[in-house]
Amino acid sequence: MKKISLICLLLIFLLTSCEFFYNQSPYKINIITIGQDYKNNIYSSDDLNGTLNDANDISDAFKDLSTNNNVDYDVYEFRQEGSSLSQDLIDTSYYPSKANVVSFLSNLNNISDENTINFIFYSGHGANDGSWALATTDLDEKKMYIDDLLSPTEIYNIIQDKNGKTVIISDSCYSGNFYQDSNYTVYEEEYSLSSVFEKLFSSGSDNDSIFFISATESDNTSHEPSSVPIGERNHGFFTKAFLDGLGWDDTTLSIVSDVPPATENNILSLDSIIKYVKDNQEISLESEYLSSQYPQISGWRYDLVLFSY
Amino acid sequence: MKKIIPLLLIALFSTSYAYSVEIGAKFQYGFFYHPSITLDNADDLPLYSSVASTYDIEPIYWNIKNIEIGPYFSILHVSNSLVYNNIYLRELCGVGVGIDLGYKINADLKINTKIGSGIGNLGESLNKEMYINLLISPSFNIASFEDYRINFDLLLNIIYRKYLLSPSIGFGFTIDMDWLSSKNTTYSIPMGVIT
Repeated sequence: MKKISLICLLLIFLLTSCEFFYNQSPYKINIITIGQDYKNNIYSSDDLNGTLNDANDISDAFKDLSTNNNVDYDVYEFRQEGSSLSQDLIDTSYYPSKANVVSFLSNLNNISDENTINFIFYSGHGANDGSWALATTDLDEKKMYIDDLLSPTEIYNIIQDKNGKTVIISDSCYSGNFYQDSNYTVYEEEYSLSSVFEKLFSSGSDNDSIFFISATESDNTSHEPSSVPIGERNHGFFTKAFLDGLGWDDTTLSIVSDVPPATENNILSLDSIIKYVKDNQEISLESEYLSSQYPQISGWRYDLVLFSY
Repeated sequence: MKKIIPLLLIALFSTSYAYSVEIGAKFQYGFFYHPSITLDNADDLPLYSSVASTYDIEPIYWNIKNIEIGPYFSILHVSNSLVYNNIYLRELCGVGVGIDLGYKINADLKINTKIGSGIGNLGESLNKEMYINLLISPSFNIASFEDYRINFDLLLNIIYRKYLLSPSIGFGFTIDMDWLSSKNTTYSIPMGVIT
């Protein structure tokens, strides 16, 4: 009897334990998406079929999530779609040329404060250094140039002093170049005992205001299916899993889950979404012989909570 | 003062539970689960809390008079915890090694000190973080019965990560039940309240 009493007492203590979490939602989210199909330049081989769906659906998914969670939001959608290219089109604010994107990002402080999450999503081509290949502005020859590339370093330099938190998600080739090491922590493939001790005992800095997520590694490409069954919409493999984790339904084009599948411990955070993507994406994480891509997230000490449930 | 009040509130309402199994005198597996209070020296993030669990394996190699010394191996888990403005300190899961030093003052009092270091994974990132763990735990025997005895434990556990100091101080009652004493095996179920 004594033993049973003691076991019951122990179970009561265990079951009534608590953790010191409290919910907090952002005051406002700026949903900024960039998508283009590259069909208005002369290179037919660079056309992409899933990128516009990616950008549109991420945008709509975050609108739904924000609405469902009573979070204020504003939407900014940079799009290039189809074969049209004209000066009027280039002059519109949300044509995804490098000039327009740089100008917008440079002025983020006009639309954000310390309680804002600037959520920036890009779906398109990436250069070998992870640069975003933005839309052509060459009206004469419709070619793309090095000047159309926006590199991770340029982006980081533009956003590093912006208000609030900034999340950059890039579903593009070589986007792992956005991945950055922390002075607090040691990168898995680089660490040695001496570097571990050096980082533990030397001064350093961390970043709790900028977060990077990439669809693939720094030396690998990012993919979309070459074709999809009739009636289905194309997406990049990474973004498809990302959307699934948010509870997105590709038929009704809306969030249908009360609690997104990627939620963990009542929290939808960047880490929890990436964990879901790794577990559920339809392309292999690592493969010697087949196409693969391994999503990455910035390695700093902090995680960002998007919504609480 | 603003920092001390929430610290005291957390301390007052925190509860710590621990479970350990001790087999003979040569091997001990322990599990400690307790809220910790984290102080951040690097930024303006003075105080937040998380839940830390440590799983220790302590094979004792040497027993010289009243001193026990040996290596210990631990698995550490610190849950993610809210800092502010939607920022969470990432979950840390690590493994560590260290030295366990025990001193038996008399039949009713023993003090154990463990100091070690480990490296842990940070959430979903590929980065890792190093930590140092120091645990001091005096244990007083306060009552003995036919098939179990009750100890009173004090616990000071400090986890140091760069600029992050996570101390937890507690006391609790350990109940050692000698159900299998004929096989020289003892089950120990400590539980207590963090103060």
